[in-house]
Amino acid sequence: MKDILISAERLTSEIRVFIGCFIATFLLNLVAIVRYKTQFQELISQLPIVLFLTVVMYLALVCLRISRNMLSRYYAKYFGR
Amino acid sequence: MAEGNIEMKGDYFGSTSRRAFLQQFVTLSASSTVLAVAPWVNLLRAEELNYGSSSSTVRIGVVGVGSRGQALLLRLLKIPYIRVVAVCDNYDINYDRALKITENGATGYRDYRRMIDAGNLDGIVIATPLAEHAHITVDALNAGLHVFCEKAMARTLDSIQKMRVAHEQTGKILQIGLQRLFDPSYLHAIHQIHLGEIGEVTQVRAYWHRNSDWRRPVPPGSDLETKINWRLYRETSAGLVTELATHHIQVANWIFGDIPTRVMGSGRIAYWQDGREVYDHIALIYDYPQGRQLLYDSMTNNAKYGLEAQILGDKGTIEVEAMKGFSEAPSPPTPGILQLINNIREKSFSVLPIGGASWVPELASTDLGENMSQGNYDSTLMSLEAFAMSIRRNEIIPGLFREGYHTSVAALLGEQAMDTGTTVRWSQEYTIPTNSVNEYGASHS
Repeated sequence: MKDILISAERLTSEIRVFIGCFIATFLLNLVAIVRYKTQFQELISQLPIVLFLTVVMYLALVCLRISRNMLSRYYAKYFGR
Repeated sequence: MAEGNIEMKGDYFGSTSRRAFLQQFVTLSASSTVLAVAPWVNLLRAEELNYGSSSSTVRIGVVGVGSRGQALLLRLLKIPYIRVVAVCDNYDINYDRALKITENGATGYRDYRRMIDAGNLDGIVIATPLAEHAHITVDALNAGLHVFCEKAMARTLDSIQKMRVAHEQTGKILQIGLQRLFDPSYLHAIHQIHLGEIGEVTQVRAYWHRNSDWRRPVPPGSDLETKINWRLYRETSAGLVTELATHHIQVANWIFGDIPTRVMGSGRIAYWQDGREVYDHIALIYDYPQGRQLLYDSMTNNAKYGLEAQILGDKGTIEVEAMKGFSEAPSPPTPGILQLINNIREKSFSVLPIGGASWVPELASTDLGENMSQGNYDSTLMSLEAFAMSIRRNEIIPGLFREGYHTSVAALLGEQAMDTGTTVRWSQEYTIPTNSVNEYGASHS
């Protein structure tokens, strides 16, 4: 089995994606609070839910990116130069 | 709450010692709120119990020693200052069994009149079929005896009135067998209610569900069906309403501190098509002043929910039979993000009129409640002991007769409502005022 090396650049990139997911989910929580007129303390009290959704979103993006890469390689192999 | 466990083992108060149990009544009787609604608690003070001289022995006769009578007899035999001197039953099996229980220490009679005429009694305990309560009670009271009569007083309103008149005219003690009045858990619940722990109580919801035909075995070839299964026939019983509902009607009257203004109900024989005349399903609504209600139902072909009396206030709930208390803390609204997720799943983003922006089912609370048990005890035993104590003190227990009387009237009015399909109103002639002379400590010779 090969060693998997994660470069600093890759790690930084993934952290940025994860933070981006967190910000998006946090904003989603904010929108929901305003939409359903609940209390702003949910910005803190619902952090566990937000974190959970962040992970879900991040993993969904990982799957999308893996799929996109696989499709790109396939295209490059059979249709590209 | 079991009707009466006749297995008397060791300490008859169950796991709680007698002194500890009675100490609860001492504590309860220190509360003015409890005394206001249960003045008989004052009697049950440990220091009042003196087993000293034989002159304080109370001589009791028991009339009717069937199932319930036997349970009462066994308890009477356990109370040190009570001497059961006579038993009476006109059914041979019960008669023989009663004498055996008393180890032939009591004199046996088949006619209660002979028992009364023989003298040597301070009081009698009546546990005959309902239709026989009235004439035995009236005869005993007129003969100068004190009477403990099992609920529900009598079969007809007219008979109940005769018992009331005899009690008032003779000044003798007439106590009706409603043992929840002596149950520390109920007294504690009453105390909590009057302290405002569950807020304003507007409804009592009670039920008693069983799954049995309610029949007792009848010797083959005999004509004892109506004698043994008297609870199933209209001449001798009103069925579920007098035999079971009376307990919770009494509880509701007690909690509300009032009597019903009217009653409506429905009864039917839905399952046991076996020749019985009384309903096997009943549903009653008793209205009380200030809009309060007792909702009651009883059935005999499903026992999933057993029995319970739910006392519903705006700040909490007490389930007295299960001895549990629940807070009615308002539920926080569902967080916005969960509502959003719910709506995404339901593909609905409109504001729904039901329940606000996002409808969440109002399911029953899953709170397990707080244990309100006051210990393991025998309230039937305490009620008998209170009867004997009041005889020894020659003092009518304040408020007690009124509780039994109003309860019995309410039960029979409920029967009327079910039979006629109409709303039956409480007539003032059935009201005993709270300042009645006989009800507040009046001593009678």
